[in-house]
Amino acid sequence: MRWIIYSLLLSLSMVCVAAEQPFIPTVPGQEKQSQDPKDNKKEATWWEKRDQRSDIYYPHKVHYEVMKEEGDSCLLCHAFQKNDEHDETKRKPLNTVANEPLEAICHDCHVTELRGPWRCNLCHDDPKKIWPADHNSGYIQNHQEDSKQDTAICETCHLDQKFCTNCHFRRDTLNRSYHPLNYINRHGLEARMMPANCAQCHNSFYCQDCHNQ
Amino acid sequence: MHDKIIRVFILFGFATVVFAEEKPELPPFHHIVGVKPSKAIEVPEKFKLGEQGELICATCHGLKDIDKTSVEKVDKNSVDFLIGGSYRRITGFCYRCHDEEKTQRDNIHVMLDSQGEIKKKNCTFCHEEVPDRDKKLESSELKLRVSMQKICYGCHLKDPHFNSVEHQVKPAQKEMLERIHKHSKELNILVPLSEKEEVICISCHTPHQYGVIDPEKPAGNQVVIEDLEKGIEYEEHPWNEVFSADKDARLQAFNQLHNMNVQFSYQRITQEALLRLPAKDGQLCLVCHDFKD
Repeated sequence: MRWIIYSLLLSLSMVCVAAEQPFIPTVPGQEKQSQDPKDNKKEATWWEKRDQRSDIYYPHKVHYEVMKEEGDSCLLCHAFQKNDEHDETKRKPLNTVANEPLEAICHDCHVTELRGPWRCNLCHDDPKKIWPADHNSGYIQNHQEDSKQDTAICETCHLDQKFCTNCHFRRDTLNRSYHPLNYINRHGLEARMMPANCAQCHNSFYCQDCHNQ
Repeated sequence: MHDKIIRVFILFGFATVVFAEEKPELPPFHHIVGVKPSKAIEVPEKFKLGEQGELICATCHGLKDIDKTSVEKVDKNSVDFLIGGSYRRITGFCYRCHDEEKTQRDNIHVMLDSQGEIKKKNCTFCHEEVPDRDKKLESSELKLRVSMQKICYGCHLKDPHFNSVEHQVKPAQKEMLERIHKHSKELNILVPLSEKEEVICISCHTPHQYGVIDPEKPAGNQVVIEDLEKGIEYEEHPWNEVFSADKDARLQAFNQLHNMNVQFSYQRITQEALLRLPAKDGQLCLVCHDFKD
């Protein structure tokens, strides 16, 4: 009897090995799982990876119209130009470079020429992924020095001074960041002592609006 | 039990077929050796002939004992692998010895003569017999010399332009296949796929000159080109500067790594050739591709 069991077990294991599948009882719900190791090892192509990217968003259809107006098409970004490199290990990375437009191409219309909408978050869903590291902790409170030294650096992202004036000139809020509450009623002394400080943000018309009434 | 045994045999058979597909047998040499070049051939000094003045493998490949080395072990990046290379076009290597004017062949895609009559000889490069242009033919009736997906490789490389190899696959989504069939009907074009429903060269490119097949028929509907000999034409475009800037850093890194000098530039296409639909305005791309937004 023992020999019969041994031979049955032996036959069973041989069949499993021959079929290249481990004898694993099927668990309900796992039937459709791929048994092909190639499926698991297959590296995602660049266009599959594109869908996983969260640092950039490019709506293709939105660009159809402007492409048509300009006389361009998909080929503007996805180059189908002649390939002289036939060694696959080199052709593949070159193909990726040819295919993937980066900052210069997008920014030419959206930043340099301002021919397209230029809000950063239109394409970059999370500003933290594109802004400088020093913006991560309380930069809004400490940006004064940088903004005085080199506005050009700020303007690489903040394309016009609306970004500044939206905060600095706004008068629809009791924001205490710039003047303490009720400052309008006691600003006279400081205005006489250090008028240059006021002039950093306000021009003479700003004063005249009230004082000429 | 019988099932299992049969499965083992099927697996074995399948593996054999796959193995055979991956490693097709090639002729032992792709260029004649062991003969003395004729007077019509001028072999440059750099191409060293054998002791008797005959062609040997090393004449073109420089490498010692290349004929005794397995293909995988041959260093194709060696300076001597294609003596004097790299060449802008692979035929540039052939023309080192062979006279370009005398040896180059006609463009077989130019199928109509000056009278508009078909050059039947050109058809037979791909078809065993000249097909009847007035009949709607099934693919088996075309009598192609090799399968549709391989027929272009007789003259062209598999990767003549960027994105070519990447396109020669079965569409990843079922919706894409449905879109191809739908658009083919709507646009009255033919988009041939391989037997495995893969995109192949002739899915986008038509091998026939405009007018060889009735343009009213899906197989003949294609981009019009007056002078096929001229081929694709481009115009300079200010975008080139932007395009180059975009690729610059990545190409520099690539060139440093491989000690090469690859450069990309952008020119706008003004005249396309042998395409089923224009690609320069994206029409061809949108036969297959669609986007949510």
